[in-house]
Amino acid sequence: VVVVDAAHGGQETGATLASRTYEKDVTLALARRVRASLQKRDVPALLLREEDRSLSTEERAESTNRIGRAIYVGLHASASGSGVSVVTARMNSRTGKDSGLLAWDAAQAAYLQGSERMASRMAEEFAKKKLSVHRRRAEVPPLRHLAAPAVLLEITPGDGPSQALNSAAFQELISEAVAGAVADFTRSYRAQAMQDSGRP
Amino acid sequence: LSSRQIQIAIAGLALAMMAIGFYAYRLLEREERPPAVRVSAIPATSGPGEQVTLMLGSSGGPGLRPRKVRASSLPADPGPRAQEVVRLLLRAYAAKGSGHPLPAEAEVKQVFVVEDTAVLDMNAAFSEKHPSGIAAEQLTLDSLAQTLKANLPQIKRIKVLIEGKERRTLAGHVALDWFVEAGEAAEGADRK
Repeated sequence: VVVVDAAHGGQETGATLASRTYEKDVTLALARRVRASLQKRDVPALLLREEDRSLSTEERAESTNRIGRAIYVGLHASASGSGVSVVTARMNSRTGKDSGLLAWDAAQAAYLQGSERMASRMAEEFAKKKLSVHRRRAEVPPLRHLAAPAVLLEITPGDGPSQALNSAAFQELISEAVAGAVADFTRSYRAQAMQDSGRP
Repeated sequence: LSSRQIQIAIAGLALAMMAIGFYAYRLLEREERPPAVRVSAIPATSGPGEQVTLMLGSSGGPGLRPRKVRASSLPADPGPRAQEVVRLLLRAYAAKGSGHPLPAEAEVKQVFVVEDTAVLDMNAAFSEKHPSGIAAEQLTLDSLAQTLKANLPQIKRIKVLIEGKERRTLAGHVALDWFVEAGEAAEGADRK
C-alpha cells in the first residue's frame, strides 16, 4: 500500500504560500490527486489524513509502520526555492547501531536504500516532464521513524506566482509524475519482497 | 562663609557627584557589554583584519559555495569567535540581494563550543521569521554548520537552540532536536 501523507493540517497550517493559501490545503488537494493517479494504475493507496485535521509526527509514523510493506510519500509545498525537491532521510551519527531491534529514531536506516531508489525514480519522472528537480537529504520528521521506503516531495511555484501551486493543471502534472514513479518502484519492491519471502 | 557661598559650594558638590555617578555608570556599562567586533552591514570582501569564510547558498541554487569576507578582529576564544562568525553569516543572508533572504532581526545570542560540537543559541526571530520549507530550512542549518567548520575546524556538528530551549523544527519542517553534521551534503548527486 502506498501511504500518501499530506503534510500539516488543522491548527498547524504549514507555510503561508499566498494570501489565505496555506501549505496544509495545497498538500491535501495534491494528496487526493496522487491517490487517484495511483488507483488509476491499480496501485492501492490511502491518505493519512482525508480532511483538515492535525496529526502528530508520531501518529503519521505509527500509522505507516502498522501497515506491512508500506511505501510512504509525504507531500509539502513552499513559496521559496525552485522546482520540486525530492527528499530522503539524512541519517547521521544518532542513527542506532544494529541491535536486532528497530530503534524508533533510526527506523528509516534499514529502508534508506529503497528510499533512495524511489527518489531517483521520481527525479527521473519529474525531469521527463521538464520540471526542475533537486535531490536532497534532510532531517524532516517523520522520515527517521518510518520503517518503509520513504520520500518527501516539496513543490514550489518556481518563477511563477504562489497561486500556481493550487492550479489543477500543475497538481495533475505532479501527481502523474509521482504515481508513474511510485507504480514502477512498487512493482520492483513487491518482486523483491516475494523473492525475500521465498514465494514464486 | 556667607549663605550664598555655602549654596554655591553645595551646588558644585552636587554637580561633581552627578558627573562621577554618570562616569561610573558608563564604566560599568562598558564592562558588562561584550567586546563588539566591528563589521559593516554587508561584510567586506577586502581590507584589513581577519579573513572569514562564509559557506553561502541560495534558494533553488546548487550547494553551498565559499565566500571570503573580512572582520576587523575576532575573539580568540572558540565560543565568542564562533558567535561572531555566525553573526557575519546572518548579516550576509539578511543583506539586500541575498539569494536566501533571512530576517534582519535574526540574531545569535551565544555560542558554546564543547569539543567538536557548537551549541548555537539563536533568538526567537531567527525561527519565527525564517522562510518555511524543507529546502530553505536545511540550507540555513547546513550553511551554519559548514561555515563554522570552515573557520573553526574542530567543529564537526552543531546544535541549534531557540532562546535557550530545544525546538522541534526550525520553521515547521527541518528538525532541531538533532545535531547537524558539518560534513553532510544536503544535495544529492542526481540534481537535474
